[in-house]
Amino acid sequence: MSAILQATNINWRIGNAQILQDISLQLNAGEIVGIIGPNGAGKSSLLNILAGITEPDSGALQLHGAYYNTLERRAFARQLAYLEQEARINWPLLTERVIELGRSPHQSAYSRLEETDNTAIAQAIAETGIAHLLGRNVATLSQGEKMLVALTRVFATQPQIILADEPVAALDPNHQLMIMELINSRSRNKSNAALIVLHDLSLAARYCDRLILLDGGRVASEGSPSAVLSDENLREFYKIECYSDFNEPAVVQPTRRIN
Amino acid sequence: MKLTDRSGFSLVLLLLSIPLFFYLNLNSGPTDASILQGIQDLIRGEQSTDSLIFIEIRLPRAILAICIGFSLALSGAALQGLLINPLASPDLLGVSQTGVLAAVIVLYYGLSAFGWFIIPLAAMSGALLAAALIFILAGRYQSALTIILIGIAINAMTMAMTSLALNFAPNPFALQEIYFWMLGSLSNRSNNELLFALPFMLVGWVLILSCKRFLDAMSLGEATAKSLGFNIRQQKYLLVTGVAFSTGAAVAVSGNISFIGLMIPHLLRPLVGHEPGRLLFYSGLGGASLLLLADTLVQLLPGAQELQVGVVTAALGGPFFLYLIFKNRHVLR
Repeated sequence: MSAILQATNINWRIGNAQILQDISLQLNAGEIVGIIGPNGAGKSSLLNILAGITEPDSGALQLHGAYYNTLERRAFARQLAYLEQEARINWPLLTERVIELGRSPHQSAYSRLEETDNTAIAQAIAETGIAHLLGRNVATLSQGEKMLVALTRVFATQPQIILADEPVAALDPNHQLMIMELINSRSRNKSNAALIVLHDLSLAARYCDRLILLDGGRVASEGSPSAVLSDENLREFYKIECYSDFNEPAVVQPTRRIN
Repeated sequence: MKLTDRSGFSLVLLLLSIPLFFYLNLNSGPTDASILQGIQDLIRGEQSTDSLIFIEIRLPRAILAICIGFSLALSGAALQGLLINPLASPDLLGVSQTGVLAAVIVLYYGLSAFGWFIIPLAAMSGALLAAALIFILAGRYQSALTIILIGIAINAMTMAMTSLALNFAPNPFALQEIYFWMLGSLSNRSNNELLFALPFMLVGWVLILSCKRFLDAMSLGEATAKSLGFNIRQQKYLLVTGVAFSTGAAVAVSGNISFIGLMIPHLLRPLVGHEPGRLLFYSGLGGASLLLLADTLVQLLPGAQELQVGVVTAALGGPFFLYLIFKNRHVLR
């Protein structure tokens, strides 16, 4: 397998606080990788850096072997889409206006939506099944519906890579599964891939091929879900004990806190 | 009525109101003059009082009203979109007032003798300085609230300094001048003012309108806008420079006409939708229409001395604005 996204020795600090330290990782085609770790481990910061939103202090970032700073912004944005936590939408816009923004990387400053744009938007809407939300004001949508709209916006870009920051953190179980299934089915397509920050360990074990466990800004453990979510790791880094079963569908249910 | 119907309807309404108010504006003034007669004389090539009043006084004033209204409302819509906050406008953030301060210093301390371009240049530099200062002081993590609070502080300081500068200026009409700069007026403007402000305003409009798509993307927040391929820093520079150019040029010739920049985007959102990019051009038209109307009313109102137009924009817009806020308070969060 070849890496489509590669990060090497990423370091990032805010003031005196070392947020990320010497992080290296890669994402391969057809893969879903989960980034897990306790609060404050640097998961969101890492995702921001991988998405090209924040620049690291040092380290190399490559997309298909090309360094980030050599890539044209919009060309980069066409290949890699970022799904923000909570999917905040600041104005009470119509649902379709939000989805259309996903086509921005394909448009110039003045061009209008073209045939290919409309096809991509229609496909994305069909994929996530949110045709019933069109014509609605996003301010009236539930958190789950908002996240679906945001995901549709990401799909409309037709990116190869999706980076999602805790996309299911605030959702009910039904919407959690729905979002994960949608990202899953899209990323299984050979050339696509996704990197997801997750808090829910069961979902991480169930949907991810590989997990990267961050702790204190370093990669503490990396590998298959059953290896990373070992009892020892959960005890050491999360300070919890879990009931774990890695047979389909995988379950990792915290049962007790360790002091 | 669906939103798309409503936005088409409001576009038609705006496009009809501008020529109507333009005509009314041309027809009002302190002297009795027939504009139609003036135009006829002009076409026949006759020099008459009517034609002179038309070409030298009424026409530049009406065109200035359009351009200044367009500039202020466009700048307001741009700042509200950039800061993702409905409380922003060039006058509220002190951008206008700093432009006024610079113009006042140049005008009353004899620096304008260097050439006609000095005043608009000073006003624009002042506006640019205020905008830059706001963004620098707000630092790297700019919350909209910090920026607005800094803007309000700058506004208060420059307002005081403008009064101070006018008081110390070797000018017997200081009080009247303070009124002009603080509240704004279009009276006694000529083709000179129009010609020197217009190019700068046009540049500002082009800069702002070129950021249309970026402002739409900012609806999803700065991080997502960046992930969609927008160069945030460059777009911010373009927008802030555009606002400084158009607002600076506007205040250089008309003083600080308040409320248009804040109010117009709010008036139009229920009609054309909340997309910040789309709102830009509509807001410009709305600002042009409102300022034409306000400037017409100013000239129609009886009184020994002409009222400042800023008084009318605030008096007209204020109550309607309040009504809209109450009506939309659930949407505004």
